Parts: sequence; C-alpha cells; structure tokens
Amino acid sequence: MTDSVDTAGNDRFISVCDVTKRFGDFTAVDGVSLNIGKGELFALLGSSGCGKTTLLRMLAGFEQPSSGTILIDGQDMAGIPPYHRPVNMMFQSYALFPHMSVARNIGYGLKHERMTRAERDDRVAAMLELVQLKDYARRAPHQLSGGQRQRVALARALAKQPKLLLLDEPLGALDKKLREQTQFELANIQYETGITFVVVTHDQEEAMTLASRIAIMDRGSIRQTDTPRRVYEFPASRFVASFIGSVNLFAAELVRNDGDFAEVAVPELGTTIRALRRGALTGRGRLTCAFRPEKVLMTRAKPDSTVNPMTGVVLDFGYFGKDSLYRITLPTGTLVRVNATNDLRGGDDETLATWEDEVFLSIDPAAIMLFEDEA
Amino acid sequence: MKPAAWFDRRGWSDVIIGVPYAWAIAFVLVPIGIIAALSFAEPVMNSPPYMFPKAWPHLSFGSYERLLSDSVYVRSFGVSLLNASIATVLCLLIGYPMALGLTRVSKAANRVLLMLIVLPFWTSFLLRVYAWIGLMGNNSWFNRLLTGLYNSIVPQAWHLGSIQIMYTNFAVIFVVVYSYLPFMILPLYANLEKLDRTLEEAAMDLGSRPYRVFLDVTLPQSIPGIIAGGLLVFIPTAGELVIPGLVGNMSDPMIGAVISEEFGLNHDWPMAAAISVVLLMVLVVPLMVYTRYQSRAQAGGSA
Amino acid sequence: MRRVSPFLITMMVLGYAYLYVPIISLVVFSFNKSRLVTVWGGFSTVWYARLFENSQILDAAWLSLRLALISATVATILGTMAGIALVRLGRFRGRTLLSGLFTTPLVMPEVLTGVSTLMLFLLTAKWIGWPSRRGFSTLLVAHITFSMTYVTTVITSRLSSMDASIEEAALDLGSAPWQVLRDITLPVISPAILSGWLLAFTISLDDVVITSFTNGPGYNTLPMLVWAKVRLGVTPDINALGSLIVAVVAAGVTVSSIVITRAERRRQRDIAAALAEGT
Repeated sequence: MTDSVDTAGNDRFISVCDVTKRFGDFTAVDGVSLNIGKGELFALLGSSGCGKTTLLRMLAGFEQPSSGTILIDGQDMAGIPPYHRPVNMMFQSYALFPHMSVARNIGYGLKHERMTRAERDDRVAAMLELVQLKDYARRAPHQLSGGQRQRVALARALAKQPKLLLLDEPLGALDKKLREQTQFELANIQYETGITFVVVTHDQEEAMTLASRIAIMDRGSIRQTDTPRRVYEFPASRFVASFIGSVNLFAAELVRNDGDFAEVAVPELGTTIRALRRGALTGRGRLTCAFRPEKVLMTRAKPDSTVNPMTGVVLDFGYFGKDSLYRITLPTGTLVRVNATNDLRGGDDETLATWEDEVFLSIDPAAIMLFEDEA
Repeated sequence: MKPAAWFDRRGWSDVIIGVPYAWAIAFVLVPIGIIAALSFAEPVMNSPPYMFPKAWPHLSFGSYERLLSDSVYVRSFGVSLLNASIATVLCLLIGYPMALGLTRVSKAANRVLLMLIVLPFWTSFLLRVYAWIGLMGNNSWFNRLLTGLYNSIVPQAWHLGSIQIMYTNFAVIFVVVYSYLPFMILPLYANLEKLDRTLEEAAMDLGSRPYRVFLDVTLPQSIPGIIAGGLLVFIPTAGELVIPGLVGNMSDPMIGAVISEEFGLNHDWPMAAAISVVLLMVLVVPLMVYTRYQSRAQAGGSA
Repeated sequence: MRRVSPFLITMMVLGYAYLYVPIISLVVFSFNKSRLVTVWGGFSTVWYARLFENSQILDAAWLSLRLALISATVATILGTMAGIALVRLGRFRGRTLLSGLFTTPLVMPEVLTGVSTLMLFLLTAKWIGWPSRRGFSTLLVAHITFSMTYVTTVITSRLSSMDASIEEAALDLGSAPWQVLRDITLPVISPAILSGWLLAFTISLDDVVITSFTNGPGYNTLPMLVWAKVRLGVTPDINALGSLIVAVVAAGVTVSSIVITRAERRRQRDIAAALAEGT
C-alpha cells in the first residue's frame, strides 16, 4: 500500500517485506510483501498449494523465511521462535489438549504471563464469557461439539491478548448454518477486542464476508490486495476476476481509444463492446473483455435504446429462489452467463424468461472489465 | 544439516537423542561388530579362544571355508530355513482365517475372542511349549487319543501302540506354529480391522461373489499385515534353539543350536561368529524389507 | 453385520482349540494327585502347596521379578527417548543408524543377540575389567537392551498417529520445547508408555535364550529354572507353576480389557451427548 509511515504506525502494524520461502527447489512463497494495519481483520485467500498456509506459519514462527523480513509492531521476528512471539494461532483442527479441561486449555498460555493465580482465573472466566461457554469450564474436549471446540480454541488463542491472532481456515469444519452464525460472532469478537486478525482460507465467501481487506494468493505470490468490494468490482487481473465470484471472459481486440472510453472487438460475442476505460491500454499483449453475470440487463421485450446490445436464446437456467442463473446462447454460439434477480413476484410465465425464449441483453460500459496481459 | 523443526539444537534434544544412541551403540552395534570381526579370526586353545593371523591382512577365512564346505552346516541352514518357511506358511494358513473371523463376529464376541488370542501372547512362552511336551509324550492322554483315532481308521496291519511325536522335526514345526501363531494373528488382525468395509460392499454390489470379493479386495489390502506377521514368525523361527532343543531331533539340528554348540561346547568362537554372520546376512533381506516397510508406515502416518 | 461363514467358524474353533488344549490340560493336571502327568490320580492341590515351599523356585521368581521391574523401567525411559527422537526431532545426523539399531534386535533371532552380547561382556571383562563376573548387572544390561526396542516400537507408533498440532499449539501459547514435552507430549502418550512398560516387563520376565547366554552361575531366573527342569521331563510342580502364571496373566488381561472397554464406552457416550446438545 502507498504510505510512508516509518515506524510501526497504524497501517504497518504487521509488515511482511519481500518474504520468500523455499523448500528444496520448490518455492512456496515468492517475494511477498504485505502491510496489515492494527485492528484489521485481514484475509489471505487462495486455493490449496498457493502458499497462504506457509505464510501463516512464518508469521506464527513455525517456519523461518528463506529471505525477507517480518515485522510485528516494529519488531523484527527473525530467529524468534513461536513461544516468544506476541502472536497466537487458532488451528484448523482446533488442537485442543485432550487431557485438559476447557478451563485449563484456555489458561495454558497464561502460565507464562506475569499474572497471579486470581488474575489468571479471571482472564479465563472472561474468555469463557466472550465465547459464550461460561458453563463449560470443566468439560473435556471430547465432551464438546465441533462448534464448541472451535470456540474454546478461539478463547485459548485470545487469552493472552496477542498483538496478532492467526486463524487457519476457521470456518472450514462447520456446517452451513453454523458457519453463518460463527462468521458474525468472529467479526464481533474481533471488533470488541480490537486485536489484529489474519484469516487464512480457501473459501471466498468466508474471506469476503469477514475481512476488511483481502490478499489473493496464487502460486506463492500475491495477485491483489484490496477491500472485498474492490477485489470483486475492480479485479486487477484476469486471474483475480475469475477467482472471485463468477465472470464471463472473452478474448478481445482493441479497435480504438475514444477519450474515457475504449472500443474493443469481441469475436465470441459477435459485436464491438464499448467500455469505460480505467487504465492505459497499449494494444499490445493479450486483451480480455469481462463482465459479471449480474451486471447484464436481460429483457424479453426489445428495449428502445441500449448500450452494448446483444440478443440470444435461453439455453438453460438454474432457479435459486432469490435469483436465477441463466445461460444464454448468442448467435455466435457463445454461452453468456446472466444472473437475474427475481424482484417481481409472480408465476413462471409472467415474469421469468424460460427455455428457448428470445432475450435481449445489454451491459453498461462502466461494468465492462478489460485486462491486458503481456504477450 | 537443517536444524530440527522447533527444538533447540543445544540441551534437551541432544540428551534425548544422545542417551539412547550411546546405549544402542554400546550394546547393539558393538556386539554385532565384535561378532563380525571374530568371524575372521582363528580358533585356538587359549583364553580367549581366538586369534587373528599374524600376517597381514590379519584376516582368516578359515571359518567361512569350513562353514560353506561342511555339509553339516549347510544342511543345518537348510533345515532351519525350511522349517521357518513351513512354519510361516502354516501360521498364515491357520492365522488368516482366525484374524478374518475376528473382524466379522459381533463386538462382544470380538472382545472376548481377542482376549483369548492375547492371553497366550502374554503367557510365558516356555510354559506353553512345556504344555505341549506333556501332551506329545507317548503315554499322554492326547497321544492315546490320537493313536486311537489313527488305529480306528487304518487297517490292522498298520496299527501302532503310540504315535512318536516327540523328538521329531514334525514336533518342532508343530510347537513353533503353536508358539508363534499369535504373532501372525495380531498384525493381520490389526491390518484387516482397519480396512474399509464399504469397498467389499461395492464389490458385491458390482456382482462379485464372496470368495471373489475376498481375493480381489480383502486379500490384496491385507498384504502389509501378511508381511509383518510373516516376518515376525520367520525370522525368530530360523534362529530358534529352545523348541528344537526340547522337542526336536538333535541329530539334525537347527542353526541356532549349532551356534550355541560351537560357542559353548566347542569353544570355537570364530566359527560361531561366522555362522552368526551368515545367518544375519541370510535374514538381512527380510530384515530390510521389514525396516523399509516400518519407515514407510511411519512416514505415511505422520504425513 | 456380515454373517460369519461356516468355514471361518470352523477354522476359528480349530485354531482356538490348538491354542488352548495344552493350556487347559496343564491346568487340569496341576490338580492331579498322582505324580504322573499322564494318568489322573484324583484331585489335589498338593503341588501348589509344594510350590510355595520350594525355595529354589521362590528365589528364582524373586530374581525374575526384580530384573523385570528394573529393566522394564529403564527400557521404557530409553525407549521413549528414542521414540521421541525418531519421530519428533526431525532429520538429525545419524538418524538412520539410530532407527536401524532400534529395529535390529527386534528382528534378529535371539540366539544372535545372546551370543553377541556375551562376547561383548567377555571381551570387555578382559579389556577394562568390567564385568568381572556375569550376574545381575549383565542380565540387566541385556534385558534393557532388547526390551527398549519393543518400547520404541510402541511409542513411535503412538507418536506418529497423534495429532502433532497440539504440540505446535502449546509452542504458540508460549511453552518452550521441553515444557511442551512435559505438559503435552508425555501426558498424551502416557497410555502408550504404560503399554510399553508392560510389554518390556513381560518380555523380561519370560526371556530364556538371551538370559541363558548372559547370566552367571547361581543367577537362575524363573525361566532358566523351568527350562532346566523341563529338559529332564514334565513334572507336576511345573504344572502348578504354569497354571498360576496363566491365572495371573488371565486376570490381568481380563481386568485391563474391562477397564479399557468401560472407558471407551464412557467416551462414546460423552461424544454422543455433546453432538446431541447441538452447537
């Protein structure tokens, strides 16, 4: 990010500077740089093998970077083992100590703090209160359900009030309903405690709903770091656009630049698309034209005037209640995915397009995304 | 070498590695080394009863030459390996159905039956061998029972007063299989018990009859258990000396008895050492299989 | 539950008969009044009484017990250390050798272990004076050596299948490695350590071959005594001894089985209760 705060100011509370990690001749993390602000809920998003877990482990201290520096609150973490770092982690498998009660699990790390017995007990009680497990202090881990175990793991990681809390796939093991509930609980707890959270996940939805900023990782590098909204609406590359949400992607060729706009020829769509330009286009390299399914306006009646008009026939669709996902076949044979909200209440024939209906599509130039890769 | 993941190099890890290491070197490696070295010495009427040749290279191959040329030794090796093989196969033939049955009975029955296998395993080995000696004697009730059965099947001319079981090679194999059967059953059971039953169900669903399901699905997956059990029977049996000494035919000794005799009776240390080395080398092949299988199993477990 | 085929049932019946006929016969004839083990002379417990008067047997039993207790304990300590070293301490120099040294005695015939260890003692007696006589100390060393390899097998198996992330969690929460060992690793594997100890104890108590090579005159362990007597023939007091041992082991196995089953059942109930409770 573009700031020049020298010392451990608020936006550079956690600072990863050009960190690389190699295992033999395999590079897991390749020159990654990140700045995370104090009190942020930050997400590292990527599919398995992208290096996010390795980066997490380097923050925790279980791996040392092959090169580069990690600073936490201005302090260089090089050579500092996990038990001397102001960092705590909530493990994916929860890793509760099976031979200790809930209370002893939570209080385990407090033994190393300078606290009296009474202070420790108070802190444990406060943590139990925070995760709503007040009556479970004496239970053993195997006597808890999955959701309860997760809360104990969270309480245990928060007990020492670390500068940084790492969460490894926190919602992965939960079922859908529990996941929603826990998402909000996690966000609340983070807000209440003000502790900097870094969440590692492969689940887009998890990252997008939890985090204030996301970094998308692929094969050891960060592809984009931004707020969820900006990552979704203004992806920096073709990769990010197709990684987050769904998207229609087509090869394009620059026809001409027209002030704030660009006109590109998209053979697959059989037409020229007019797009609001958001950066320089050189015309060299591979150009991709993209737009998200929900940005397409679809009507059954021919509209009077439209921008970027196309016609097509409904091939099939999935009805999800709140919206429908259509696949439209264009005259060129290309399939376009369109997402239409069911904002009108009514029966099938009245409001929704159905199989083999002819439909009219149009897209706002501001909604068109253009990506240029090197040749 | 890259430092261990999260232990300090100094202090505790050195102690944890060092102490057992030192003990193992002193009392496992060095003795083997001594045996290996002694096999290249010559026997003398002295104390200690060995001597390395004065001339360079101070190595004598005399013991090895005698070992390989004298039919007594070669035969003894042959008998030992043959007995070990037969015993292993028999243990497998008897033990596999038992282990398989254990996986199929009800939970309550399984607990009891498993206990009944474990019980002989923990009971004194010698006493169990001894128990069979009592039964195999020519005058025991067991022998009379068998003889009676035999006589009832067989024509008058072939009738026997009693069946000579003791001091035969048959007795050795019989008692060996008896003693080592739990060592075959337990690893096999551990393996079979962990198998995914739904694979068998899938095979049946696709049309295979039970015996085919066994051959195609169960048996191939139980091979690690067969190897483990097989090694646990074969290797000790090859070097057995208690059982052959008690119930076997001592004029046709197994190699364990030969080693003991060369060492204790003949005071021929180099010869005993040489035989030991050859036995070790013969067994080293299955030994390597065992070690590599163990480490692969460990790596698989902690991956 | 699949029905068990008749073939399997037959094999199991035959197999269990094979295992138990001699043991049952042993127990039955231990109550035989007659000296002969081939003919039934009436019920009597005289041989049990004689057993407790036989000082030779009692001394041997006491020696075996002491030997087993001490060697099992030391073997468990050494074996656990080796297990931890092999599984948790990564790739240190000489790891392969350590692994090999701790596997070799398991797969070597006992006669080889016995002969090689005896030769070591004889030679060190010559070179450095120890052991001047073979006796308790040499027996102890030999027993510890082969027992510890069994313990290591049990420990490595348990360590490999354990969730190692709890150790990382402990590190993360501020414990130095030795504290993790003390607070987390050892307590969690303690059942395995106990099993290892029991295994080492039983093996030591029962050992014949290696003991025969490494003991000294006058150091008769119980198996040595029995072996000597058995070579002379089957006698009823050994029957009684055998039956006693069978009884003790049976009791031990039964009790532990019940304890384990109960604990397991309680655990399952707890888990089910937690699930039923909901989130």
